[in-house]
Amino acid sequence: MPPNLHGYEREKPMTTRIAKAYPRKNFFVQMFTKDISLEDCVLDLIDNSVDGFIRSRGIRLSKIASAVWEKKKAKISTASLPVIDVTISEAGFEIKDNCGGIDLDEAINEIFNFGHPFGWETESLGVYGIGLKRALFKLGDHFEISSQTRKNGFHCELPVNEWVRKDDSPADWTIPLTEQRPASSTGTAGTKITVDQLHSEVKERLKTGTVEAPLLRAISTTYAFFLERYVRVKLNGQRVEPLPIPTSKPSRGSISFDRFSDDGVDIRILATIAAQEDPGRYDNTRAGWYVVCNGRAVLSADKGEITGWGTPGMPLFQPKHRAFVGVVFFESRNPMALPWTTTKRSLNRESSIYIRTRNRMALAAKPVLSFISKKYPSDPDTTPAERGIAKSMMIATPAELATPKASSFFIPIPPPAPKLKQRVQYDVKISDLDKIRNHLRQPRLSASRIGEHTFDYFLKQEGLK
Amino acid sequence: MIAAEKSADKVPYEFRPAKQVERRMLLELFQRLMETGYRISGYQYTGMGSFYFVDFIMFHRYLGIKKMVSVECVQAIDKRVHFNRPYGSTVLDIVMGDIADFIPSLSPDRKHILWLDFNFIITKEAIDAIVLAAAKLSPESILLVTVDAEPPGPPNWGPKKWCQYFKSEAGDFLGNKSRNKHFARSNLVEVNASIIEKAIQNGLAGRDDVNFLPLVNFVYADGHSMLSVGGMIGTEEDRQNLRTLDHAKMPFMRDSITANPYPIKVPLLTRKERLHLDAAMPCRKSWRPDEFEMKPEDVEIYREIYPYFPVYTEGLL
Repeated sequence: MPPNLHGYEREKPMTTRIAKAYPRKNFFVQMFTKDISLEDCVLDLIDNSVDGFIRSRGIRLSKIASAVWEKKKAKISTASLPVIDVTISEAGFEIKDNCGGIDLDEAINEIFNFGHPFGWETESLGVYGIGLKRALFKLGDHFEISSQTRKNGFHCELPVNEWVRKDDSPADWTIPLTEQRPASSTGTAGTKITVDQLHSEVKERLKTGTVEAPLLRAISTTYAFFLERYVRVKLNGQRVEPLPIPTSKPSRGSISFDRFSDDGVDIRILATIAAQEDPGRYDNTRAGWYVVCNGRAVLSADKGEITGWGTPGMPLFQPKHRAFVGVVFFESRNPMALPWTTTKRSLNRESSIYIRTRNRMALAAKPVLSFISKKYPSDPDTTPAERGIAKSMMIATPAELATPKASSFFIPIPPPAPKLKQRVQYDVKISDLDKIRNHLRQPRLSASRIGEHTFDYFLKQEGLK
Repeated sequence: MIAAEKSADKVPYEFRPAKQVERRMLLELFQRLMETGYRISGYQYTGMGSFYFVDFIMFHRYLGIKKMVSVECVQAIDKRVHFNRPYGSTVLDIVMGDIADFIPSLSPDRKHILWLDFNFIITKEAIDAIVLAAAKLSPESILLVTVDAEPPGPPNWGPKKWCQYFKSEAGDFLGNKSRNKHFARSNLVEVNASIIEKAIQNGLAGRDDVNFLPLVNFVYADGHSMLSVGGMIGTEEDRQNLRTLDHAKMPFMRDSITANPYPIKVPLLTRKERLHLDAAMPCRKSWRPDEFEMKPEDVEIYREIYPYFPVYTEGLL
């Protein structure tokens, strides 16, 4: 007899009951799509195409990521690059690629599942097994997918509203596929996804006319290490050019570079002065931290707390820091070990890998930020040497900046030239200034010129000049 | 700039007896660490020597440290700092700039003694330096932090303003200290110590191989109330090694930097009195000099600090 812990007698032994803990389709369609943006959706679908390219060509993603560090890049014939063609308008969404397609077996057994089973391993940009479905559900109520590899092909069509309503058993969590003929050549193997009946919120967003430009920029920076090297992306017919991270190197001295490994993840950090738009001019929108996971940028020009700004060891980002650029590269054969979020557009701040990296980012940034601050001295009469040195920085790729050993940002500063001039400021009566103007018969003589004139007059009269 | 209030002219460093006692105690600690197997003579000492370099001279002379860097942030005394450098640049390098900017360049291949000897009340910039130091220092390195523990601001400020000051400078590191009463004058040493401890922990976040192993926790006043804490960035093996240090021989050692600080008090004594007391040292607890009046607590203090107590004499040169 169990002890009477609660102060009353139990009349019969406790029985075990089973509570339901089923997934609901409506959750995935309605709720799971709430926290992602239109841009997130498109990038997730581009990830899907890039993964097709990696699978069909038998390339390891880690190899693409590590190619960032090759000092001599192999020449690429851009004419034969696979193309990912994205079209988005209020009428609908389409992404079409010739990246190799999705294998029928994979479509049947894996692609449409929500999440991956335990022990699932792959080297791909698709990590969590959620991005493709979430993007399609977010965009509209009806989608079609056609895909052909060199071995097989399939087509599927899903009226999402109807599919959601039928949710009585696990058997309802399926999607019918129609087999299709394989592609006739590698160049034609690929996937086409169309979404119509776009959701009203998506249409409204598109109506604002402010989707295309940020999306173009997001693709340029997110896939800066893929575009025009492994794949070509077109957005509404326009080719998207890669936007490289604006890093530069000094002619003398060193940049901050750190490299270490942690739990199978190779981490490289570099911090330096940003490449200039024009001599002495830095683009504020491109300053900050860049975080790259397996070659894909998850944060670009970040100026927020997630990359350490305003936390111990790093100041809050201020406009004067627009000459700062820092990059963190996380590379692993196990993408689950990387500190990216499910949208792959931010960092998981609780990731132990990232926590271990954060303070090392602050250490790399500190001397760069200090150098930048010295460009703006409190004495307006001084012209710090740092300004000239910053102007002489040369554009350099991450591969050119990497050093065999860790280094800290350091640029030798020549001793300041002796100061020969000093600004003199004082207040005088306006009536006295007018007296001088009248006396000199120069009614428009400026106050500063009067100051110089009277100063000079004193030196001459006293025989000092 | 890290030391807005720092002034090398503020205090004649050579004649701060409590500070000198602290230096000598640290010297003894480092000598004992050498006996335990730590090759302190091979460490790099980085400090903020101003133009006095007292600690540099002691560590070079008595510990045999041959690589030292003094970081000085006041550009206006550049020439004076270089003029007073006691050793050549192969032994003692001088870097003009902020200590926080220098910390990232500390070699991970060396062991270090880093003394963040802030002669001012704790600031955001000082906390940044502590965080960066804890993040950077290699295992077996020693980190020392000194701050002015006087109340911040002008004399008419009270706990409410002090609370605002600490919230603005060290908000993330105040833990559950949020009310004015937590910042009463009598609590300020503990407030400072707790901020330093949390800053060190923050810097160590993600460094699973090491911990901060407290060694010293001093409070003293040569005019200003100062807090000076320190310990080793060490592994579990180091923790075991440090346990073998003889605490009885070094009663100033502490295993926490936030509790039970060792107060360095320096009794006021004439030279003749000191000679008399020294002749009786080490003495029994109950011993008192018969020849002159001396408070029992001062005798107690003297018993502990006499080996470290500096002697100053006037030299007519």
